[in-house]
Amino acid sequence: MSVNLLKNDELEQLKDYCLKHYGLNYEVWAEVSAIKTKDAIWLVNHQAEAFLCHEGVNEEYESIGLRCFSGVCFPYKITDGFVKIFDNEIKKKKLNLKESQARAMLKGESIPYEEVVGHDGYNLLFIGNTYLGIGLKKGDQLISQIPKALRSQLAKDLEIRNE
Amino acid sequence: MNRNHNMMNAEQIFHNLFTERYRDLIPDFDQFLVSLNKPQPIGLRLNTRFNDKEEFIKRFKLSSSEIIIPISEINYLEVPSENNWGGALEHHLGHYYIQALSSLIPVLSLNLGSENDRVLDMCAAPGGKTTHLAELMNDKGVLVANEPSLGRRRILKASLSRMGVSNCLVTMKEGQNLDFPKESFTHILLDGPCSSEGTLRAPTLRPNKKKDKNYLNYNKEFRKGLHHIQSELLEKAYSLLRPGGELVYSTCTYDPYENEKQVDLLLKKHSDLSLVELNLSSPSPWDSFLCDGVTEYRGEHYSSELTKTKRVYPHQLNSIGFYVSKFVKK
Ligand SMILES: C[S@@+](CC[C@H](N)C(=O)[O-])C[C@H]1O[C@@H](n2cnc3c(N)ncnc32)[C@H](O)[C@@H]1O
Repeated sequence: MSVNLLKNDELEQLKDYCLKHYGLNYEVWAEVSAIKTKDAIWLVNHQAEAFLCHEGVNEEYESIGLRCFSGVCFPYKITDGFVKIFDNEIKKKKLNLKESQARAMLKGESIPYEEVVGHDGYNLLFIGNTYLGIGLKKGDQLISQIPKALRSQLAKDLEIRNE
Repeated sequence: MNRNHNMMNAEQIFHNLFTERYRDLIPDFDQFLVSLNKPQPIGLRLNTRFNDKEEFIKRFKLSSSEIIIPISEINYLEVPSENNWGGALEHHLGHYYIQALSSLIPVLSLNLGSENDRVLDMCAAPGGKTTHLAELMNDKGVLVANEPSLGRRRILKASLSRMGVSNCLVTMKEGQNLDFPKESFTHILLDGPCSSEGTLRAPTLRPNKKKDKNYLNYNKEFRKGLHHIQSELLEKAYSLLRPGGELVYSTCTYDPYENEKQVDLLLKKHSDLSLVELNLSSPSPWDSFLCDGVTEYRGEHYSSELTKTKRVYPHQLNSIGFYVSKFVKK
């Protein structure tokens, strides 16, 4: 894949977006470089970025650090990678779901949005302290973004634990 | 009746093959054969980024009898095999990696942890060792994970993302054709393709598993092909390693032609390479579970240095069979 560093203005826009929507302070970006490919933004540490741009230039890469946004411009769609890399630094758009809501999300069902307090766009779904995945608020629905391949398996797991 | 008969037959062939090859090589060989009739335990390497061991034990209500493993200071648990560990929420969230205990040894043998580490995992999928490397690197430095198989690379990438690894670059080549400049890496792990004998347990424990059938079909030509790839990979690893750097070569097979012989050949070719002890920790709790590499097999003699390399057998450490060697480059 072709690899480009995010330009300064693009990076500033991304940082502003993340501050506004996820409460992510500017300082947390100091540790990472943002790399743009055709359809995603990846975050990787500075050593890996330097390696990529100097010693590793002759190789082709299929993935670079964590894929944190799918799409390369506004509106940014966060991924699990984003949640993993910034973890506790994320302060906003964290929805704590009830058991039944979590199960619905894990089954890939949408839930009426008024049932949960949250915001437009991509939200982080939690049950207790456990992060489940991402949900998109669209219209009056919260739509599960948990990958299809995982949903039924995970729903089953949640059921077994609650037996 | 017919199926039972076939199974008995498969079991007999399986045992005969091991006996023919390794009766004189593996210590307490009868015990070894007995161990192949026991199921392999399920183990989890916990991702320290997301949880600690005590908490995990509480969350899964594991009793202490279920978590007895010989090496207590590593973040590893043996767990009941009835649970669907691969389907659990925490698995998806990257809280653990399902991994055989012995396959931790190659990674633990490397001295990692500096920001300047440039680490290459030459044959990386499905990613057990890559994700372990990343963890020991604290996501600092650079980790390149290479894997030529598309299907296996998918699993590797899923593992990296599940475990939250942020310092890794994934490449797609046959390891011997990697295009990095010479001496690009401070550490190289070559956990290469091998005949995988160490992962085999008796056919009755793994009915219908393709692998066992394959094993019974492993012929000389197949093994020769492997030896060739292994030596090309080792040669490439040597050229990509920086002076002062560390190279770990490991396999999950008992075959000395894939293990000691390969190591011996590489040593003979490069006088600036030497073998060192794995140096897992000192005093190493692993010692009593490891056997020295062999210096002789079927009339061939290898350097006495080969005793620094280590073999893992399932009757000594209840896990998969492994071979691990560690070189440093002057
Ligand atoms: C024993 S497995 C590696 C296991 C991995 N290190 C782990 O811990 O998860 C060997 C891998 O080598 C790959 N392989 C086969 N031929 C190769 C080659 N020429 N160069 C690099 N990798 C190769 C296989 O596809 C396979 O994924």
